[in-house]
Amino acid sequence: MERYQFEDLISDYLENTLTIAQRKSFDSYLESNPKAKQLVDNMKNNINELNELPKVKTSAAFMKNLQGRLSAERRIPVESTAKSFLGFTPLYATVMTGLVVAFLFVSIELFNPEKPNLPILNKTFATHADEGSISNKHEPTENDDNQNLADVESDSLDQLDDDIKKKDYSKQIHLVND
Amino acid sequence: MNQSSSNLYTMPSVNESRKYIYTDEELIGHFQNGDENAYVELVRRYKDRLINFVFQYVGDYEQSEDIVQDTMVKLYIKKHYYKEIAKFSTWIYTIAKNLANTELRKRKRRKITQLSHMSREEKQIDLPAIQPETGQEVQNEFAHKLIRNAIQQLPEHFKTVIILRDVQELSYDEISNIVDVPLGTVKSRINRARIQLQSELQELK
Repeated sequence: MERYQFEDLISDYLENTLTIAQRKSFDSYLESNPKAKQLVDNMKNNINELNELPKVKTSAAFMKNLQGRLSAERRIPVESTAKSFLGFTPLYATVMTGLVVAFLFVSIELFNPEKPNLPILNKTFATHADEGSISNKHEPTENDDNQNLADVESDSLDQLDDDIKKKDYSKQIHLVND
Repeated sequence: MNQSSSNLYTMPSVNESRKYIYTDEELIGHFQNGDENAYVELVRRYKDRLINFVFQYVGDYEQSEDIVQDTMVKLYIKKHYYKEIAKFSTWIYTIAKNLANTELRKRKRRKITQLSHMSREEKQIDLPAIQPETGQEVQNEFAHKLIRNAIQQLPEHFKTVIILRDVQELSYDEISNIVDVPLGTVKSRINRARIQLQSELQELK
């Protein structure tokens, strides 16, 4: 048995967990090495001394002090909830309020009967639709531009005339003598 | 925390031997369900065991008691972190060991004069001179102080396992769970810790 093998097996020897063959080999090593035997004996004494170390106990005030500390711990959550709004911290409450306001604004804009659709959205969708049609068709020429301009002008003038014709002010005009 | 009504869980006397004794795992289960008497009983069962462990580890009684208090407060606050896959004793020892480690690290950072930082001469001054005519009690006290000082000289990983094994007499399995290393490593560490303790003791003597 080598020295390092011997050192590895000391605890197993002291706790009696070696096999019979290992124990015989260990014993023969001890017989031939008085220093090794001295080390094993000392270690055995140390383990006994460690086992017999006087037991330390908590002080008489331990439970009382613990009770005081637990009371203090119980108070902490109460203080923290006082600084919250409906269970949210100030930061989260602000964020949540912002989100709710934004949601309400978008909802009103989407479902308001006087404004059927969001103008911004319409414009965006129209632009995308135009882009799609442009990409699929030929590039615009000067003739196309003139034609489009004429169409737009005629449409807007027609629309204006239609609006004037539609308006009936007869019931709103009152003569002074009436 | 009502201590007066906590005797529901206390150990039965000889005449009451038929009374059911709750295991630690059952008690923590009751406590997790809101029964504070179960907590009181757990504290009663473990306060002395834990201070015994922490005191050997830290070497200062007042600090040890603070650490055990911290452990019990943590048990109270973090009760739902315990899952019944491990023994309760393993869990509570792990909490105490971690808190003791934290305390030792804080102490090192603060550079409080510590025995391990002293020279050999300073260490020897701390030890009482033993006279041939002194009684057995004094000799025992000296021997205890010597071995405690030797434990303090060990590296943390050796100190933990040797205290848990040779002072607390826990099983290798329990120690393996507490220090979170494989069983083989625990055995090897305990063996090497015992050899190093012997060499520390020789130097101190």
